[in-house]
Amino acid sequence: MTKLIKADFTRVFKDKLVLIMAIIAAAFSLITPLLYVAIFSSSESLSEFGFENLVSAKSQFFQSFSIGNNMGLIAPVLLCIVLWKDFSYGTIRNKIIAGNSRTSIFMSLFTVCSALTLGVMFLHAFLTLGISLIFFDYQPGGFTANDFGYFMVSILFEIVLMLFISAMLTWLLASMKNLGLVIVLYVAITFILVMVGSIVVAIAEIMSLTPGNEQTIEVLDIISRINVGNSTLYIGAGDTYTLEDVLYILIPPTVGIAGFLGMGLIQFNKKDLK
Amino acid sequence: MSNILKTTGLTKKYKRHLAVNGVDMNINRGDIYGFVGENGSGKTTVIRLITGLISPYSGEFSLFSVSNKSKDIGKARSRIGAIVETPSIYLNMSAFDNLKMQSTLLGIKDEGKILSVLTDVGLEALYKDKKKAANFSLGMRQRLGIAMALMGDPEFLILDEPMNGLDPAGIVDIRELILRLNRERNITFLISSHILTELSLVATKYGIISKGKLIKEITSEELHNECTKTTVITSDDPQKLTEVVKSFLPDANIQLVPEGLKIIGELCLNSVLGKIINEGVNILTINSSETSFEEYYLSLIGGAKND
Repeated sequence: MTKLIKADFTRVFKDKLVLIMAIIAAAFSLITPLLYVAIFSSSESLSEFGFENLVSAKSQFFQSFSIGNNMGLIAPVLLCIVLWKDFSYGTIRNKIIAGNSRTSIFMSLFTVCSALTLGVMFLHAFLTLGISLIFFDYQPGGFTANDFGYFMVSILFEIVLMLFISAMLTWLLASMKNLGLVIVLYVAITFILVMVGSIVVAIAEIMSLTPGNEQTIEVLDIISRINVGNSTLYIGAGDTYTLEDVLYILIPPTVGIAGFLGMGLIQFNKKDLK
Repeated sequence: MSNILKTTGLTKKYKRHLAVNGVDMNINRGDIYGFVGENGSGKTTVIRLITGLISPYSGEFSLFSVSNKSKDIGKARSRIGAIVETPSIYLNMSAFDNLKMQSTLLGIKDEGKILSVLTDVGLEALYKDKKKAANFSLGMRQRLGIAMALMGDPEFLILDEPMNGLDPAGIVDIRELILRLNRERNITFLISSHILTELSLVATKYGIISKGKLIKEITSEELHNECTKTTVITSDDPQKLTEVVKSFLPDANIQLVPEGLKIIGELCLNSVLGKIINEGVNILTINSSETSFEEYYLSLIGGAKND
């Protein structure tokens, strides 16, 4: 499998789309903080709207990982195009004829997909952080030694989230018959997750205005917390994590990763290849 | 002679359509197996089954005596090279990068192998060329595909319609390459094609497939016998006729069949008939015929050769 992974990385890094993806990630990292600077150029307007936390470098950094944000959508779509070439060029045949099992081929695809997703998203996030720090504080209270541990744990959570996206992409790539369908399904699933997340939060907020809805709000809160599309609300948004937070953040994507990989492996092992 | 590929009742079904129906085929080491059939007859499906791209509905096959149901089928498969339908190459990469990819996949560290296989297929000029495969002609892609298949020093090479898109010179080159690899490296070939005349120049054995069924396996010698001129002479004394003909044509392929005495091959009919009559044998009828490979193939698949 090492040879397979090495070959997959070799061919992916030969693809100019990967460089284009990195350039787009860098461009968004520059544009997003600058847009915030343009909109909230005076600190008065920030406090006026209660946006101090929103425009901090910390929030910019963690929002970069959102699956519904610019790179959260663009990177996976470009990745699909890069990785699909093995199917469209028929070069996947070389891997099978070379004696590799379909399980190895699938896991190699997942490895490469994960590495690229993590690479692009971290490039985007750290560039955003760097540029944001030129204009904004890390957070209103500054960066303390205690924040370092929280930051590192949050990074680990983001890695799990990126692996969730990679597993979903790998499942779609390995089981669908054409690239268009892969992209449409990925975008549709992402939109549904993000939309459901926003709607649930909005309904909960409206219901909280009327007393007697506590139980319904609790259910909505659980739905919101297990929704991977809502991760930006919970990862990197505070300064500590409770055990409950950790479980809510880790269990849904982990179940998702296992589910997507399991489904993908079953479907890919049965798939007729051209 | 060791067996390279043996299929038993190999069947592939797509919903209600039987693409391959109980195919039993045998390929031995050193064979150049011409796999003949009309478009849609099931040639490529059989190849895709053997190469593991699709799974059989029923039946089985063994590669190098390893069953497709065995865990070791991957190892057996690594001893083959194949082009299925179109060459499996990255169009966004140069010939060198494609072969480098293949060598990474196969764990080959010697870069000299790349030049060696490019030379084998007559593409050595592309060794340092950065031109992407997307800009290659169909013939060049086909050759690069063969070079990719040769990277792992295969013992068994499967070529699906390898002459497609090649110009006449390219066809000659590929034909010579096949014959050379078979002769010098003892590589066994399975070559599918519907260009019968082209196959007849290289194949040592044929499998004729139609509507998913393998209707005949025949060696080139047997095919030659079927396709060369045959003369059937009938007499009121067939035994004497046979003795007489054998006496002056000792090396001829002569068979006493129910229709009469069958002489296979070219012969000077006037001289033969003169000698038979001189020996006092009474000739009743003489029937001469010649069948081409195409006619033989059409007769097998049920096409009317005289339509």
